[in-house]
Amino acid sequence: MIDFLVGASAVLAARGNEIVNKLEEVTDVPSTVTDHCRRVIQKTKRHLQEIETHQSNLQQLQDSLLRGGLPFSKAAPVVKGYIKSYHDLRRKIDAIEEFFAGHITRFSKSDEFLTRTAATIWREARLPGDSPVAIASTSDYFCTLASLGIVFAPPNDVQKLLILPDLYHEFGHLLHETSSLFSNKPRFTSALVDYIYELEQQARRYSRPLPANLTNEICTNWAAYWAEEVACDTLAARLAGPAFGWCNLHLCIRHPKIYSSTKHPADAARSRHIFRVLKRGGWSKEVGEMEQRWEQYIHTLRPQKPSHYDDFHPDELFIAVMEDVEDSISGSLPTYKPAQDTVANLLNMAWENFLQDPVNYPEWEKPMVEELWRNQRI
Amino acid sequence: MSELSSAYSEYERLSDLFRQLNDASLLARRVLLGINPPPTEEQRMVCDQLSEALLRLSDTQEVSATQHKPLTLTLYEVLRQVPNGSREVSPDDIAAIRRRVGGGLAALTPEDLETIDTLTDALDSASEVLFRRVQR
Repeated sequence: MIDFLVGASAVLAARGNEIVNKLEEVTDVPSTVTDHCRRVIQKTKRHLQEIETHQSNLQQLQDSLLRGGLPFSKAAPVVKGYIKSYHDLRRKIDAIEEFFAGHITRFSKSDEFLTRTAATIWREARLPGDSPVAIASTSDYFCTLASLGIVFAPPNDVQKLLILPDLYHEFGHLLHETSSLFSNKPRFTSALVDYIYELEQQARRYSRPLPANLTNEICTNWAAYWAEEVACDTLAARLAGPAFGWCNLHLCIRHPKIYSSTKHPADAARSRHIFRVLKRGGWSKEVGEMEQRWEQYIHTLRPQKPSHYDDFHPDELFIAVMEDVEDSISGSLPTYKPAQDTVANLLNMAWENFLQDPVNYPEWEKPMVEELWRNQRI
Repeated sequence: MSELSSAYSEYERLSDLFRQLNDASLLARRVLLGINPPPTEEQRMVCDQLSEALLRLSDTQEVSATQHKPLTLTLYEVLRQVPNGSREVSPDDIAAIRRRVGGGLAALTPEDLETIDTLTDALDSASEVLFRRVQR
């Protein structure tokens, strides 16, 4: 078994070395991509070093067994531990190969457009650190693997500008990975503890039975996932302005989860929060129009609120996250201002044009995207 | 962020915890078997990592809410991954191992190592399931 495991580790190491070689040979890509390649190469090399150490340790174990000084019964748990380590390292190499190296070696013009656009937005918003690699390929909607510095976007060739405001939300996840957004969250932490306490008190006072595990579930959802999502929505609404609000409504129609929630709060609660952030930024007129459309949408579909929906989505937690984000970025990041020569302004113009004349919008967008592309290549 | 990103992020948290526990267990067994035991400084570092990993498993939700990247799994959820028939692990067992590891890796008992292995079995299976979900 030990020989076989050492052999399997050698195959894994060969795969890792091939990834390193391929990434080292990457040329003719934006500098952001080269920077991320360098980081991923370092990460892969660390895994290769671990594989080598494990192989050497296994060899020593094998020698002790062959010398007869160690019974196999005592060595078996150690071998099992190395098998589990092999599983873990295999998953790490798989992830690098599948979610990073594979896309870099097939880097296309669409990827270049997205990566350069992401870099421009990142620079305009004065975000800290490096902008991500952005790949135009996912069957899902936007998707970010923050530890690899990569964002996947839908491979749309038409109406690109209407979905781009969501990139700002994805940037929030990248910032969260490096603790630059929402790492210090005193209001949220205290609001969550107070809210759970109050919910349990209310249930006692009004004899309203709460399902077993409800408060635990609310707590886990918020602490593990939702607070980060709400922080990203807050950041995106501040940086992209009304375009992010419209983009969110578009997404709610595209992938409807009006009152259902999993790793994100429900669409209705998220939309309400985005409206709140935009109003706070002075976009009340635009929010009025968004709210009107949202209400028409809800009135037409008439979805049913699940029980305990309101318990899961209290305003105070959304507001606490918003205030924590405002504190952490206040003064360091710009809020969206119209009439500037920025991508954010272009995205807002795109939404204005789409709302005025949706049928002819593609004709308006085509030359705009071409110009954006030309500007980025200068 | 899509559900896919959340699954990947959760997989990474599980994997981090797995590595902390499994590396400590492997090192402790090497120390106990006398096979190329690592230097004292490295052993001390691993003890700290093990202690931290066990603390993460015994966190209350209130504590988790304050962490930058909270661990999404409780001990109960990790142990749900263990096939029937495996030994049970209680929060008291975890607390006892934490106390003993303060005395160094050599202070861990064979039962402690079995307990850690039960946890790493569970984390290894759970990581594989999540990783496959991301790959699909």
